[in-house]
Amino acid sequence: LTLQLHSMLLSVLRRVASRRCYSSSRLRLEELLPQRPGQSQDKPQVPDKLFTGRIAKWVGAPRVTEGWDMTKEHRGDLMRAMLIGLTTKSRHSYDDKIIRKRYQWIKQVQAFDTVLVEKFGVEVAAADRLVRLGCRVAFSNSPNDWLGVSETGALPALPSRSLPSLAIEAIDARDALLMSDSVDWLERLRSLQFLRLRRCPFVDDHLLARLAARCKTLKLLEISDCPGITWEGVASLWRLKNLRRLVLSENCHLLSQPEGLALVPTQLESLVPGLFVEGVDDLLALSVPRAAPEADSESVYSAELAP
Amino acid sequence: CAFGFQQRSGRALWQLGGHLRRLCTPTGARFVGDPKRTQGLERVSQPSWKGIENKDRPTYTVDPDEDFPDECDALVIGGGAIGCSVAYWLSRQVNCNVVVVERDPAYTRAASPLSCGGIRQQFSEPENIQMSLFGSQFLRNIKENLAVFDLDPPDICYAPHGYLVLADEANAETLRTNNQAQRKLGAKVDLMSPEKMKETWPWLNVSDIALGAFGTENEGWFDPYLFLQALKRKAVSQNVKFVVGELLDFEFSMQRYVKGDLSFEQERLKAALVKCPDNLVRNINFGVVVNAAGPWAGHVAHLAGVGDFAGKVKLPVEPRLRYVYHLHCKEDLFPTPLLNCPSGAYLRAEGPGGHYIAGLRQSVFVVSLPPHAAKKAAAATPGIDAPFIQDVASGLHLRRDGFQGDFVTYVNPPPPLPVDQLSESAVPDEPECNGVDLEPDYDWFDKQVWPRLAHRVPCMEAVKVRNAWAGFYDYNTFDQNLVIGRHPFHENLIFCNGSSGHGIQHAVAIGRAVSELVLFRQYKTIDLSRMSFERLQTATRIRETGII
Repeated sequence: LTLQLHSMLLSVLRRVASRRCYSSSRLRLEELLPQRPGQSQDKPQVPDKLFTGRIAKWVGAPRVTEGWDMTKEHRGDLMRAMLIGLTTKSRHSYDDKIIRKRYQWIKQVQAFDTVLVEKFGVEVAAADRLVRLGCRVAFSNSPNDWLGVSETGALPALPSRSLPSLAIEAIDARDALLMSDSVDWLERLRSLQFLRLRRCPFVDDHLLARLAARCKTLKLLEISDCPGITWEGVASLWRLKNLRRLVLSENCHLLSQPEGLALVPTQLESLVPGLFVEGVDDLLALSVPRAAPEADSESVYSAELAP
Repeated sequence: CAFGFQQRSGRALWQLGGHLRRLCTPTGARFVGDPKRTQGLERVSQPSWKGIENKDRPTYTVDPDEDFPDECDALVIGGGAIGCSVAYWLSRQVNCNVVVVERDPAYTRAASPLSCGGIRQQFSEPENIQMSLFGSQFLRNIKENLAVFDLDPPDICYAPHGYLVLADEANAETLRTNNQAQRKLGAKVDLMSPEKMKETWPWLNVSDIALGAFGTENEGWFDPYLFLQALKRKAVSQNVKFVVGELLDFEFSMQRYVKGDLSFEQERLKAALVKCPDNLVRNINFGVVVNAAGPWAGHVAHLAGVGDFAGKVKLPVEPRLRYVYHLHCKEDLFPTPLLNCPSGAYLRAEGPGGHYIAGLRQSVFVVSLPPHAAKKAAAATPGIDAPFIQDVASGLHLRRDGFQGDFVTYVNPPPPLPVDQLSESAVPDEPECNGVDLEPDYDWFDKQVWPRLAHRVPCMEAVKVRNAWAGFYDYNTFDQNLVIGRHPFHENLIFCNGSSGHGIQHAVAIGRAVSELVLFRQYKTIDLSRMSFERLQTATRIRETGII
């Protein structure tokens, strides 16, 4: 009741103030009013609205470069809400409809679209779709020049048609919405070298198995903090014969399967020539003598991988 | 008012009250149509009319119960993977009463949880390939499909490694043809030469192999019991009633069909008599009944009169025993695909650590001469004059099967007993199965499975058997393929039996197909009309060629 009174008072005062005062006085009035219980003076870092209707805005803002922070917590909640929305029988709730529509939209973006490919060429079309899902892409003619959704939520300027020199070399999928259907796009990229999957909620064993079957040009792969994968999915990567680095970090759920932890990285290294699996040294209880990684200066992106 | 009064049923009239309620029948029945009227009285399972000898059928005393569903729209007999799948799809598409009768809620002898849980798309029949592809897609999105509100999303521990089917020179051409058919339907299977296989899997012995087919996607294995649990949980959340009971018999009613001057009477399946755990028999009236009893589907069909008064053709499904062995080998070959050898042995790794699951798929091999070869060498090939040839020295058995040029052959190592002491019914190759006992035979492993395994994977010579279990196949003795569709006599009886080891991977597609049969009376997605009951009547075999 006090909240309602406060809001009513605020609205009345605003109406009064707007007739005479400038906007600066309005701010002063709000500062003078006693704060509502449970509300701090500072503005919260978490945005109130989860998404504003454009997928680019939802994915893009606010963007944080590194580390674990509070602004990404809502994404887990969003995914949980999505799953609940998918599993409830009632189709008459507006929230369910929004969540269901959003999920269908995500699936639609991943589906392979031949019309788009005919229009723009496969590389540019794939770049467009990946960027809409929240990835950043880098082309071969300008390495380390990442194209992604900006902080304001605007889509980047992609080339209007594909050129022979234009090929996607690297994909940075941080907090992206990649699902197993998106590998239809990834397999057609002729020189894809680097793929980072970090905090992707929909990455599971099926996506890894499809990657292993289709994307043979992959050299550097990072899978960190993806809750959907298991050791079976990681083991299916033995088919990527060109893989040089595999980084598995912050995958806390994989700790619960110690037999996979002890055996899969070493077996992968023996099956795939030239592979070094990073990120598991501190987790291995037994210190298995492993060869030091070769200094890999071939790829520009090897410095991008997490240490 | 009088108009509404007359339209009410017995129960409603009774509830209106009145002095006449006191003047009721001696058994204390409350209204006309109250099952208490006949409580304790013997009810004959079928009325006596000419045509059916009901002296042979036992009679049961039926007891009603308030909590027990005495009527439903669709009754599913058998709560295994296929039964739960049928219930899930039916209740998902339409708001009807579905009841599933399962006599063993712990699934101790059911085929589903005791299977290896593999799914592959490498078949030779297009229907099987399509069903597998749909099943694979369903399992890929299982968190979305079978999630129940407020519970954790289901996890079936799916391992996405493929199948490797090996063929020697005789079967290489069949494998190639099958591969083309699979690719045409969208399955991703690669043909590999022996050199390529040796390069990819150095531990594999491919000296006697001409061609291999490796499924790169949509193939793998999962935990079938978790899959069954997920299906059942989702079906329960969609208001399917699971009843614990054993099917004793069916009740029939005489249906009169009239067309002009002609009329005939036919028995129609009306209700099922189910024995509940409290040893009371209850009946469930249904509109349609689905036979999903797995290995015991033949018995259920017999109760419905299939093979008796409802047509002479029986449902040729019987339980067959299959042993699965959990091996441990010091050499660790994880991850392996699921190897299928031409000899019938299969092998896959169970997680890292040197654990493997192996078994023998089928003891009996069917060999058929292609028609042009049979015509050419007509004098040399055995024909109707061929006896059952047994070569004791090498252990080869050969006999003619039918008139199409088919032969049944298997290699049987010389038995330990002298020939004259062997009983006629003892078939050392096929394990004896009485439909009840599930004891694995470790000797059978040493004699039959191990030599084939050691030949195929040389490092398996030093293998130890850690564990073994036995399970039943719902084996279709006619052609080892699914029988699905309505019965020509009983139009409300639907079969979905006889998958012979492929039930768990086709369960999802079979459930959807049966739900389409029930709701639309035709197949809407995958056309399985070739696998109908009629092919048993016309003796048309649909056999998998080149694939075990």
